[in-house]
Amino acid sequence: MPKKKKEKKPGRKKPCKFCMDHVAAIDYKDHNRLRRFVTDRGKIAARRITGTCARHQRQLAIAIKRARHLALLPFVREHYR
Amino acid sequence: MPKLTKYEFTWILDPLLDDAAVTASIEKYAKSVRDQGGEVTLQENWGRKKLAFEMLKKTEGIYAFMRMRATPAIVAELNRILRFDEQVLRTLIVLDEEWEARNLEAAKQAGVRSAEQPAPTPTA
Repeated sequence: MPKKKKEKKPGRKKPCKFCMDHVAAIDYKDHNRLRRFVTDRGKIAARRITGTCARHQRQLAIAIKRARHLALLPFVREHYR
Repeated sequence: MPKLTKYEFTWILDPLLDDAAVTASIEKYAKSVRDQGGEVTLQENWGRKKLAFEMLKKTEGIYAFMRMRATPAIVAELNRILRFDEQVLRTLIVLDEEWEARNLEAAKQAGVRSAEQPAPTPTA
């Protein structure tokens, strides 16, 4: 029997957390909030994972990079297994 | 007189410094900005924080923060002095986009609007 190709189900669209909180501008100093949007390896999480909208994802990327520069967020988490 | 722009200036100091030295560093840069015709609207010491990664063999740093109104020339001069300051581990000078004020404003607007409306995101 041939394997059935897995059908892609259109999932429920996740709401953008920043839109829900009415965030107009994402602040790089707010690293505790930013921390939720990086993977446990320290990479910036993709929009499809977090559900962030395009506008906020753009702001988020800049904010995370600034926070990294100030060592508020890690570039990579080294002792990760 | 050139137009003044708002900036945010964060720098990380050596964790071995004592409080007086930190205050002195903040004063030094505030003075430098003022002397060149800029204004310092806020200066803060965020205190000692653990760094997310090792920087020049240090795992901690003292964060200092300043909000100012300055010109590009003043910022260039600041960057120049900072390069020679051995107490400073890292710096960041960015345009002040008034995150807090804009977020407060957005939250206020959202409260006024009806609940079915999506979040308002005012353009900069």
